[in-house]
Amino acid sequence: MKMTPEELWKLAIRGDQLAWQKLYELFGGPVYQFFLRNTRNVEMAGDKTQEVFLRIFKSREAFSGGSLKSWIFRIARNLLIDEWRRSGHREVLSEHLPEVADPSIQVEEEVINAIEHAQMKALIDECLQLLDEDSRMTVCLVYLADLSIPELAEVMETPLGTAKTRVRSARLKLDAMLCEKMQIKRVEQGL
Amino acid sequence: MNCDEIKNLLSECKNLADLSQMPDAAAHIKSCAGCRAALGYEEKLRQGFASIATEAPPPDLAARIMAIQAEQLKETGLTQAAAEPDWFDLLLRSLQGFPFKIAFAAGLTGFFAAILILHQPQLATVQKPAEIATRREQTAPAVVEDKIGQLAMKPEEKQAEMADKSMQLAMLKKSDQPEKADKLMPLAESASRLPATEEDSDAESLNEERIPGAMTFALDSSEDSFVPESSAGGATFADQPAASEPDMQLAMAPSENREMTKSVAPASPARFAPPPPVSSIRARMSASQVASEGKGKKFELSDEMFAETESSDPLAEELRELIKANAIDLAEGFISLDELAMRGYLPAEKLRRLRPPTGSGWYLQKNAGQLRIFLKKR
Repeated sequence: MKMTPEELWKLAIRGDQLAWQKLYELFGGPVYQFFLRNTRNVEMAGDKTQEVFLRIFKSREAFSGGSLKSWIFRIARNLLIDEWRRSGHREVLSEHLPEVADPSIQVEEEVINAIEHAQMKALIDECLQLLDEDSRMTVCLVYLADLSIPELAEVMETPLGTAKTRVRSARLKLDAMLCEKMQIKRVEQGL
Repeated sequence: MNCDEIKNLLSECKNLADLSQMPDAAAHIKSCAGCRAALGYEEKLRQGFASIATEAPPPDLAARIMAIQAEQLKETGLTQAAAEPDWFDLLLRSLQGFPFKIAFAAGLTGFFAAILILHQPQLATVQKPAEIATRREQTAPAVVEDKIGQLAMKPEEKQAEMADKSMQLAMLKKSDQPEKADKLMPLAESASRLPATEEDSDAESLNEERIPGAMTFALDSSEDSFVPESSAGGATFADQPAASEPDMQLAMAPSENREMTKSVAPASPARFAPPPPVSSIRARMSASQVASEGKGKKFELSDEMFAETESSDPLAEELRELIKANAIDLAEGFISLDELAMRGYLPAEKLRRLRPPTGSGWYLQKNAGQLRIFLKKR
């Protein structure tokens, strides 16, 4: 029988090691990658992931229901913002959202089909580095952590509309970069 | 369905497979190359992100995270009893509101002041008629310790004393003074019959001067004469304190010898507490007056006191430190502890400890970059 993360959580806080392990399997990877892509520091990503799990267990009484995933990533996001603040980060969640440009993808179907899975992964990684922190975090929360827009709004503590705008804005930036990279690849490969 | 709607669906749809369940969307994608390209791109992008998300974290991380559960449960198990607030903690917590604090402090001060006043040594009463009857002069400052020492005498010691007296009697009988022994006998016997605890329980005897073995008299004002004190509610043989050896000898001696012995022997310590000097009474009274005046003043200066309480409140300080240490950016106003806990800043035990009393909350005030946190009624 497959259990929901919330059911696993209830068992884990009562001492069920297997449930705790399952929770790590479910969220450990995405949380670690979320930190890794946003900090580019393997050690820090590991430490922050550990801290997220430590905090959720210590604050277990504070979780009164809702989505466990949202709660975990809310803590992760806050830890990341705290880290940015500590290190004197210049930009912390700017409220000024950029204008949304034309959302059309200017890449042909064959080019997209020709891109291999591994290549796409490398391109995404490359583009994530080029994104601004705010957009990168939003993209990571939606596509790495697999949060829905309402979940993202909960995590980012913003209204649903603002969350949607943030995702759209971040996606446009990412798409523009990816398309450019794909076009370059196409030229390189002689497609 | 048009291209824009499809693109919106693509960006907002959580699961791309759901699009195939929508006949309109599926039909449009089939017929539109641009939307097919967009769908293909979206699929590739999501697959790419999914493969990044499933990249395995370092192997040691799993062990570190698995250990968290065990450690935390162990810690909680050990501190569970300590975390349970006892009745005094609950009382203090309920008194965290400002007016209750003041009322509680005033109540406590009043209680201790009352105890102090009630426990002040009382002025000793001097029974002049008894003094006249026994022709004993009131000796100067009485020493309480003497009586206390007598009271503190153990029953075994008293028995030993009685045994000594019996031996003395026997020796007197054998010697050339049998008549003295006969006179001494009834007194000694009555003294030996006295229960040791009787005088211990008589707290008022501390304030009275009594001569062992002697009958005291009180002045009967109606007849203008002296009557035995027993009829006037005074002491009788039965409730006289046990006679000490020199006192008994003094009582047995002829009157002229008695006067002489009294003049030679060291002054018998008086057995009542000396009245405290007037100056000390005044000092005490003025101190209590100052205390009560001070209390009144405290009530008048309640706002200042409140400010002092805030600044020295360790819980407020702890919360302030937590906010500072984590660089939590909070707006001025009431702090939501649950919010902080949800964000992972407050562990459960800390949340319990910092929880403000019902009806009030921690208020954050920012003043020139300084954080000030205090309890405020909601």
